[in-house]
Amino acid sequence: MLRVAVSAALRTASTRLLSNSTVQTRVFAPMIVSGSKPTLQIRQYSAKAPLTKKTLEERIVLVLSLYDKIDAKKLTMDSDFTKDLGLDSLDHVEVVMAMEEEFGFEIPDGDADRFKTPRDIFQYIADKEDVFE
Amino acid sequence: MSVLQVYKEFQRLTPKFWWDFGLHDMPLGVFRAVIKKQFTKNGHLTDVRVVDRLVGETNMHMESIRMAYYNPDHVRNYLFAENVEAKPKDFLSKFLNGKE
Repeated sequence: MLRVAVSAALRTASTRLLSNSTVQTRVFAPMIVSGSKPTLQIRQYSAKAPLTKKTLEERIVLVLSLYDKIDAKKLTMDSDFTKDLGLDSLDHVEVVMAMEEEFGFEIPDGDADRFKTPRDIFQYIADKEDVFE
Repeated sequence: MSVLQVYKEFQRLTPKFWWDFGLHDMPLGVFRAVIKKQFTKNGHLTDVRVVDRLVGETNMHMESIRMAYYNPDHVRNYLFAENVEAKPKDFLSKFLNGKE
């Protein structure tokens, strides 16, 4: 509730700001001259991309299928890491590290031990990142 | 458990390790596998005291890697035994080497 209210307030504030200001772009943009043609670098400090259940599942499957010890053909959301995919505990740690890098937050060891299938990871990240639809 | 923890930390350190010690002749994935082999080499150990000692040693290795106390040649000798001469096997070469 609080979050909804805050984001609504922020949205109205930002639209007012944009409509008032004459300069539309307020980005930190250093000019870097490479060769003859100046290129404009724009740094954007933005929040993470919003997740839905579908994109979350796609991203998990993508990360897992890119991991070289997992056979992408055998991979489903319910295949067991140790039994079906043949990973040992060290590989499991690497999978969890890949998930941390993908979704940008740390997963404590106690929680990571409970991941048996990709669906467990899916459920955990959905809980942590508030993905409901 | 502590092994998995230290393994995670080590794998986090691995890109820096790989880059700082000039090990780019192999891809990073291969080097990660080499590091993993160092861990699985001791996979049969069950005694907690021995495992704890090895975990401690790994922490010390990581510290030395971070602070660059090792040289690239040390690392290569340790991981791949590159510059170590093979031990003499038959009698004549033992004799010529002056061993025994």
